[in-house]
Amino acid sequence: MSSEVDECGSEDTIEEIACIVDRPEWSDVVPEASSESEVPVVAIDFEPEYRDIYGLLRAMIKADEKSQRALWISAEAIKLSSANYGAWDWHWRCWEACGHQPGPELRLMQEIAADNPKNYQLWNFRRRFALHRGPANAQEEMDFAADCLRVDAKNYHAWGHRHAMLQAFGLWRSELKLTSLLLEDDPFNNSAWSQRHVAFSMALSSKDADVTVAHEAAWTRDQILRAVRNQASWNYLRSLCACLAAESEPWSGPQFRAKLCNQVLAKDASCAPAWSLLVHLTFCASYIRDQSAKQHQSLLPAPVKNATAHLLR
Amino acid sequence: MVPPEDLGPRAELLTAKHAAFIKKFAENTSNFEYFATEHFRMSGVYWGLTALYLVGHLDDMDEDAIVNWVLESQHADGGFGGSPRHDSHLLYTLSALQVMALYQKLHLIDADKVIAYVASMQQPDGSFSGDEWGEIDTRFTYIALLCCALLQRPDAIDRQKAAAYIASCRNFDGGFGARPGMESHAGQVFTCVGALALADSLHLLDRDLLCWWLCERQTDTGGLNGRPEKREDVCYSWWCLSALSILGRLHWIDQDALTRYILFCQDEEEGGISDQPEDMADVFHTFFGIAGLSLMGFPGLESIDPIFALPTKIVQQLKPAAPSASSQSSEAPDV
Repeated sequence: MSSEVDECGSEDTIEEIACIVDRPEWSDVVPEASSESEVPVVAIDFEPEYRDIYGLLRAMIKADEKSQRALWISAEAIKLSSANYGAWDWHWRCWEACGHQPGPELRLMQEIAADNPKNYQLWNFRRRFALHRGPANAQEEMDFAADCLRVDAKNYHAWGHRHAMLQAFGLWRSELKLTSLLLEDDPFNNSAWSQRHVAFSMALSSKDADVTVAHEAAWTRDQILRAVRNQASWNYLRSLCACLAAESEPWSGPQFRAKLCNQVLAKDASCAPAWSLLVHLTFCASYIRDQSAKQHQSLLPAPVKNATAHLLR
Repeated sequence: MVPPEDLGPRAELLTAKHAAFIKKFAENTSNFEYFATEHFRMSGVYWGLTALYLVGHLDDMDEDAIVNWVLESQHADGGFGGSPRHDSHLLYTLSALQVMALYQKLHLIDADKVIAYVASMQQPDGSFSGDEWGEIDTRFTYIALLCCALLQRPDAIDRQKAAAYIASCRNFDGGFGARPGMESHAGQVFTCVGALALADSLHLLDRDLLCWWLCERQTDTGGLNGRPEKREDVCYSWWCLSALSILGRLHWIDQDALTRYILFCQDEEEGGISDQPEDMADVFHTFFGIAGLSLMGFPGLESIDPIFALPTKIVQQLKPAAPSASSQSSEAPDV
């Protein structure tokens, strides 16, 4: 098998190949012409390679040939047009049929990710590939996604890949660390906050939980104070308190949040997320019973104060 | 980039130029881009034609050729490919039906086969995969529900389970992601709100919380972004606005500022609209920009239905198999 890979030139790039259809290993294959796209005459230099490679790929699909050379030609087709879902699908079938060697696949995905890390087909393939290989290679998967996040820390596909791996292999606990690192670097990263929400919920509900809402709320407060107009961190604080039934805890309850709002508003009197939370707290039934609500109510802008006055009587 | 006070030639919607831009793109079959985009051309055709309809230029295109091309793209499994020799995918199956609906030719489609294909993609948990390879995404739930609605077969799939899956993707901020626990994203929010509307299940979302999240997508430029602390992009003019429109909260954003942002993203010379000011225009953003303006009632544009993503007149001609935006307005009081 490996000698066939070499003959097919798995390390070649299309620039190094004058004419693939003339190579001996393809002498028995007639490229399958396209029914429509080859009709117009195309003047661009790399079009003949495109035509040849896709012609050979179509011939492989037509003959239902899931061989090493079919694996190779489908990889070349993907490199030329990386969003072509048909080429990826045939590539997967060949990979399954040819003994699942991971090396060339890892290199192919690296190459495609470097070119376009937001390619849907790449990530679909990667997820199938990773789930097929199982938990022994989970770290490699987490690293691949983390590398993509170093280029774009909000890449939805990379987060989705980590999510799928964490879910499949039960690794959520380790995710708090990555989100801490990313958020300390950039507190505006809403993707990291979102992932942290799941990771923290998982950690809190595990039998040997070593996290507390109070500690998390304090950490979040520190992140808010770094950048007080950041919607992402305020949203996280609200979710932390609302979703985790933390209303009665002194370190995350209404007093804690109102104090933070006042602290922020003292420095930045028109900070919208702080006002938004303060208004919310004023409306919140459990808080209205607290007499200190009246103090905060006096801070609200006049129209809001008038509209909410009856709630505090 | 905040639009300047004086938008110059871009103060107007340059409809004739946009129509010419789309037509030129469709007819330029001799460049590499034409090859490289072949696998998703069905969606490109839908974006282009719907934009042309909204600006009153649908007749510029060759209807018979397009209809025949769409019919050729249906495969034995009942689904449609991105073009005739690409495998079936739910994405292109919906685009194909939308194109046929625009031309009022849905009756030419073998509906039973399409419905069987769509229904075969539903998973035991109510979700949908996009193709036989099993990628799960809330986009596909919306697509499946809309395919069934367009073909007057709303009960061909388990709508209740589909809605329950969507609800399981709801996040703490009121938004929705691609799968349970994934970050809220305005594009996914559009598909989830549309799906819940089609499944008569809008009660499964928190209207005020979600609409607050959606209206916070407006930045100082007037444009909308897709997630907190990201840059604005014209495509969210459709994704955020359609969801706000379905939920009766269009007035929660500054529509004048958004209108000016979209107009500023026009290419005043070649036509077309880009993602951000002074970027390269493309058919995708041209459609979403015009569709956003249409939702805001921009003068001279045909109105678009936020659930079906098709002109309101076209949706009204379909038999009332599923709730359109107009039939739901009583559920969405503006306060």
